[in-house]
Amino acid sequence: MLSSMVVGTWTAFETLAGDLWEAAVNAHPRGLAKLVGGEHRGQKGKEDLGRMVPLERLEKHNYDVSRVMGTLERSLKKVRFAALEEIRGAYKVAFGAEVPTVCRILEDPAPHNLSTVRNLIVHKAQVCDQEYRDKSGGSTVLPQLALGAKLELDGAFVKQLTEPVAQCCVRLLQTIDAWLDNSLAVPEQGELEQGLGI
Amino acid sequence: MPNYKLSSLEMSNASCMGVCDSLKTPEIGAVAKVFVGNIRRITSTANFPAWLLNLSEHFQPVWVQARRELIGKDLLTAEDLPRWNESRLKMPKECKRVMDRPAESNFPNPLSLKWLALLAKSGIQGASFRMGFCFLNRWWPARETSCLPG
Repeated sequence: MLSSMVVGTWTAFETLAGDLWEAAVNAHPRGLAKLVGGEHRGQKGKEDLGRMVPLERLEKHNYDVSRVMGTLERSLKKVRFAALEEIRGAYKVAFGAEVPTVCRILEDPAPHNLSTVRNLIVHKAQVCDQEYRDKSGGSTVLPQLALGAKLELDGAFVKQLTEPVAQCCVRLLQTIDAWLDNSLAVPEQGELEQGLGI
Repeated sequence: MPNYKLSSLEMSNASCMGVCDSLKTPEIGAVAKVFVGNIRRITSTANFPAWLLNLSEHFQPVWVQARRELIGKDLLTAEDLPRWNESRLKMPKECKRVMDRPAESNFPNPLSLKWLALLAKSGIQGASFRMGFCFLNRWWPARETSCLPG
């Protein structure tokens, strides 16, 4: 039950990260969809000219992608949300320049701690390996274990792991919501000119 | 049995349940709704066993006292087993007698209607609560159930 809480909370975080990114880019593609906010670790060394959109995808959206850029980029795997590094990378390229606070929220140690324990549960049956030792080093939350020792879970530890991540998600939602609300209220330059009849 | 400290999970993640009300854009609101649903499901999974364990912890002193009165001692040996098997069926009545005794009012009364109603209000999902009550009924079949949620 405790381990499924850890795994479930990570899945909730991962789902939120992907869905929130997509919803935000869909709602405000200008600035976000260019993915130029920072270096994307997943894309390091690749030359992505952003020209590879299959025609059938455009047809699917009736050749109007102005409200589905997030969905499109996610489905084309320009960004991924399967691991913490990928999530941080995806937010950095989209929000790094526009809303750097978002990236700082994701740098919080809470998702890292949850991800480390989740991986140990799912991939190593809670038995400490070198990867866990490397990732837990210096952490005040994660217990320091010997190689081969089993990580024991209890309610207090699980709460320490999951609650800060849920709070992190709330901060993420509120920050992007506030930014989006503010940005959508200000007319874009083109719309302004059109409105003024220039 | 190891101490899993499940009571620590009580009200866990409660702070994020109201996030939807604080958001202004419908796009982010829709994402938040899914997130809160996921967190609520995780939290209710944790609540039910935690509640059962807490319940057994509350009930244990009454159970031990009733057994002591029936068998005459706290720790049972192999020799006591036949007598214990016979007395086991009398345990619910004996427990009730212990709990109703005015001198023993210091015992927690986990099965009181007030306590059950409190549990029902504390965010435990109806289905889980009814499952828990099926478990309880095996211990305490004669108790009134009218306060249970629909």
